[in-house]
Amino acid sequence: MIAVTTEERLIDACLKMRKEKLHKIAVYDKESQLVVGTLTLRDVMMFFIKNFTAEQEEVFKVEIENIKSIDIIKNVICVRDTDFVYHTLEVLLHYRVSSVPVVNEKEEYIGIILKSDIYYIVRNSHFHYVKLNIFLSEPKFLSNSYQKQMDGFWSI
Amino acid sequence: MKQQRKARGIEEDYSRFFFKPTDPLINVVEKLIFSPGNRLVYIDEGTKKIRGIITMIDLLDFFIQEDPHPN
Repeated sequence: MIAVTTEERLIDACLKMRKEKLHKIAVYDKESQLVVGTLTLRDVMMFFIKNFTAEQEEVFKVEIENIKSIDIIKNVICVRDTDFVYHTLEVLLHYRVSSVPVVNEKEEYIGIILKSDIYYIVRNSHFHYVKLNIFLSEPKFLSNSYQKQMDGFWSI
Repeated sequence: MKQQRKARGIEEDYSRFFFKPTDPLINVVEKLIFSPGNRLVYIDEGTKKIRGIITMIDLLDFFIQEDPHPN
């Protein structure tokens, strides 16, 4: 199990999460060997927001495109709307990502599939979805939400 | 799926999935914290194609530098 002890520093936990591409890590007591909790990337981000000094806080006002060490333009792993749902599951597992965007034949963004969507299929035994392609499995999911997504995005 | 999401208590606020390169870092961090998929997508306004993506791990890389600085 990938974990940190309560005696390790936050940076050690961050480096382990970074190395293993984890969004959460178990924290255990070294003496009792019992897990006392979990540390998530969300917790770490919240910590940074709350504990940066006034000088460091200036960095939060910088536009993200001007931060050279953050690479936002890159090849994005996507699935096609005609792909099978099980292919999406394979992509989520293989690349160890929590969500994957869905594009159409013109490579236009039309939606996003989350791991929780897959969990929902499994939890409710909707296994017939897995053999269908994404668009056919839930046409409402993509087509109805498309305009809302665009509206939500462009109105920012 | 829309009804299922509603039943699961997931609101239909899709702006949570996107960011723009001109967004200040604080906005991106806040969105990522509440983003369901731990990632935000940047879409080209003209072509509607995906231009990029940003994840929690990308930001973690930035913050764990010895002295986080834009340059």
